[in-house]
Amino acid sequence: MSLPKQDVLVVGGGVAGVTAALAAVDRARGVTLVRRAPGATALSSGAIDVAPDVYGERRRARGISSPGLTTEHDSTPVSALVEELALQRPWHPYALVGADGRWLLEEAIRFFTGKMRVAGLDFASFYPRGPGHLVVDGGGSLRRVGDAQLSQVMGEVEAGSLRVGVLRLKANLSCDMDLVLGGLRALIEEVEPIDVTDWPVGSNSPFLKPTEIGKRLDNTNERSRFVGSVSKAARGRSLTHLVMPPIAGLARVGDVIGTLAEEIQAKPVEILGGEASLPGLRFHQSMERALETAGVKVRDEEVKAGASLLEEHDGPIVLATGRFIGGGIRRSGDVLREHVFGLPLHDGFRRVSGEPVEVLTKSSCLSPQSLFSLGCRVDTDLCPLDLGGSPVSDRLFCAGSIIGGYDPHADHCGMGVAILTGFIAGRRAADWEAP
Amino acid sequence: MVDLIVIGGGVNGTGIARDAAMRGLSVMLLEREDYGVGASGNSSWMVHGGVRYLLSDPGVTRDSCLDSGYIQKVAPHLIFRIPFLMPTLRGLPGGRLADLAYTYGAESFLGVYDRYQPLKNGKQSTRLSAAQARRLDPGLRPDIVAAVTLDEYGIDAYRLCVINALSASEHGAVLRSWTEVQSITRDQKGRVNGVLALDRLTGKVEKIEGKMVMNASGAWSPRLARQSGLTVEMRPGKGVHLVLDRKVSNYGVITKAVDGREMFMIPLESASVIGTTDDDFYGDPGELSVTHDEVAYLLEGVEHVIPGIRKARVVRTYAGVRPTLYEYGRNESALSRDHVVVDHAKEGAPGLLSMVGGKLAAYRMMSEEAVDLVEDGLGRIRTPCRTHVEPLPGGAQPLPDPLSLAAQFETPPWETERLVHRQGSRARDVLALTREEPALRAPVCQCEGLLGAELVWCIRHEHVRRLSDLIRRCRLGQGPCGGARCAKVAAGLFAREKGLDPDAARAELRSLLDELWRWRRPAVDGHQFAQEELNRGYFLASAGLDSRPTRGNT
Repeated sequence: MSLPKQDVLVVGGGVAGVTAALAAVDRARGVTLVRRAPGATALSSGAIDVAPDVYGERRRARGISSPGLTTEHDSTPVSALVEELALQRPWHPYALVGADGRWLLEEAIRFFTGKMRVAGLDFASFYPRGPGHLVVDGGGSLRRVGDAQLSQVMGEVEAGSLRVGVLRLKANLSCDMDLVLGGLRALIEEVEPIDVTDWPVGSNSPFLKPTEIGKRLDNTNERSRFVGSVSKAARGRSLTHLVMPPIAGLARVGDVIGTLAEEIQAKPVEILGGEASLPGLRFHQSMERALETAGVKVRDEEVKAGASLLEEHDGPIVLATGRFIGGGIRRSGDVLREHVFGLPLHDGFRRVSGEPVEVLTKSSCLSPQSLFSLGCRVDTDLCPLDLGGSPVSDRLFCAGSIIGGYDPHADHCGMGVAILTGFIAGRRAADWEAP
Repeated sequence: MVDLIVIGGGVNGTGIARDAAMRGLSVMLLEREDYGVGASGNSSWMVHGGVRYLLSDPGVTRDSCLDSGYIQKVAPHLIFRIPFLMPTLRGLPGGRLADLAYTYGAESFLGVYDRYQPLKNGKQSTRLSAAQARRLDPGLRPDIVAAVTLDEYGIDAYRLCVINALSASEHGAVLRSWTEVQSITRDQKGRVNGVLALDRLTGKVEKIEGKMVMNASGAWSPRLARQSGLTVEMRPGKGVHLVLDRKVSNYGVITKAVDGREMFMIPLESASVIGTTDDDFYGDPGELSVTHDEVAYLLEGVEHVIPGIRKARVVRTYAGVRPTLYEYGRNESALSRDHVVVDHAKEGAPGLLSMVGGKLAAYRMMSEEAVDLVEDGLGRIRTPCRTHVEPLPGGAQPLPDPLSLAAQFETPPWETERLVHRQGSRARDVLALTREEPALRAPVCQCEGLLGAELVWCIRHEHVRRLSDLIRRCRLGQGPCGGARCAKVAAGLFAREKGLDPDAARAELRSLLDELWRWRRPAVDGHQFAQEELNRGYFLASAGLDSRPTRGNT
């Protein structure tokens, strides 16, 4: 592992690793990012989830109609939801970083989305004192998230004046919007399907994935054909919003949304990315561009287990290898191990190593369970702890889901934790000086 | 009042319902969950001739081979050939001579079995050198002595149950799935005159009257009988299987587990399946789970002849309980696989018959015997049975050529071949759905080769009451993706076809995911961890399911 001595070494190319690398470069420090693969960001929903939308269920139960979308409960600030998580879960990264760390959440997310904007991807903006942005998920629920791509947010909604169209591309099942239509109908009074049968054309159109359909819209002619078909189907409906499959272009999102909005005089809203996620792909590509622009040295190679990084490299190290997808945690023999340093794993309650999977899991597939909360223990400085509870090294930091004690998906905070811990770890690593 | 109430929708229950309906009896079939979820669907999916019983129970072997041949005739589309390799290993006391003697012994033994092969269109066995065997399956350990081949057939066991049920329905039988019999009713003289049944989805309890009642509930028989003050003796035997993410061998391989039990790995559809165990089971057959120990046991057994097996990815497990004949004092594997139709008249409850024991391959013959006894009980002259000559739904020959269909309907060839395997002669009707809805030409489940058209067809025409029934009809979610790529689209189509409101649709999707997880959970390892993490992100973050089950979830 030959790299400049005082460079910050970031291991892992997901959101946490990239944020750490960008934050370190921002502090005028050389950064080398080593990754075995670009990460799973391309498979994500495209939004930045910061805290769970605890009032979402109540919204779903009650439905939304006039007098309006925003009830008093719905105006709870995101920062309060973050505080709530930190209070309930002492091992949650939001708790570990302390009030000072949580205070940095706004700066961290704005820093990150700022880099994304320069790289060509616009986010809505993170206002921690606000309730977050309304987005539409694959089941047709309205969720509040901390931040999301501009093409994904419903925007400010007038009480009692919603007329929502749900765009159904009948030629293709993977863009199936029936669940979305049903879900939104339970929440909003005026919801109707807008069926398009003449786009995309071609005998292979049933076989296209959302990513393939979306890429077509980068092409101007294809885009006009699409907008023409949609506008024909939506004629005379006086829509305020058009909820659509996540296909609004890869490189030219702004043009797609802009042209469509102008033609139908309504706000197009992409649902969250799912299988073959185009919003996720945009996210991933913007991160690649941001790394390049910032001058981060990227090396595509895998760090072997037990590699003596602390001996080979004299500078600070940020471990951002994620969990199972990222390869940060693997099973060797019967024991679950943190891959690079062999750090002890915990799930927020207790240490975990050789237990059979049936002990670490629950019978209900999506419920919170130990296996999906695993990771390293860290202190307030995000330095991982050894078995005795002491930091392994003052120049080794952790960021992202390699940290244990939380479930990024069930807690709906995966991106928020990745960006916050990446930002803090990146800065601390950058500020580290050899004694 | 119907002539016959059949309890149990496994291969026996559906086979009996079909035969009885074909003979003109009025039939009602009651299944507490879905067709085949007991021993039938969770078997090794082989209609094999029972070569194991050649020495102890040659009658069983002959019957199984004969009936296997009949099944091939009436359901040719569901059958697939499994050529087996039985390697001989070094290490017998006596050195090389003993190893060779063992090989010749195996060859002779299988040579006797060869006499029954023509009954089921099986090829004769042959001896292979070590080099020849390893050319066929390079994964075999390098130090085998030789191998002997053995020809068997596999079948989609769930679909076998479903098409028997469909055939029964087409001949006038009434089918009720997700309906549990709570007790068998009797008149003052003790004669059985019907059942009390609970529709588990609506909560409605119904008294159904029948002149005869056939208890074909498999491992559930003893407790069902007990609930009505009657007795069915059985030694329920739990069997567990592992499913890999792909076919790692084109051949079946026979091996020995650590305790000497014979075990195998077989190519099954697009995966390899490892099986099986056989352990006395005393619990509730509806609450089965697979243990870490059972998974380890099976992997160890295959590793004995295929050393690299642990590199393969185990995607899921499955388990069922065999309704084996009762006998005290014998090891599970040594128990007889014969069958018996118990007449409860000897207990003072005439009108009730119970089916115990048997093999998948002999179901048709067992059903024939049972319906003969039902006709006796009804005081009818025995009608000739035709279940061995009349094709089951989809079994009408000649079967369509998948490549021609694919060209005609512009569907992808591999998925069309899978469709013809599952639906046989009905494949054309299924593909006709794409004329009105071209989007159905695309695959919904890429792991299992499931076209949208087939999914919609099953929902409309194959007595599907719940989304998870599609696991049995068309292998939804059975592949490595665990539903990540197919569950949501399937839920959308199901909700559309059944007119479900969004909460009900979400509950069905959640139920499907939990059902799939139940069988994946015991074997999660290696790359499967990453798949589970990915699925979690997809369903919780993108698809909008909650981590806490909402109301309406079962």
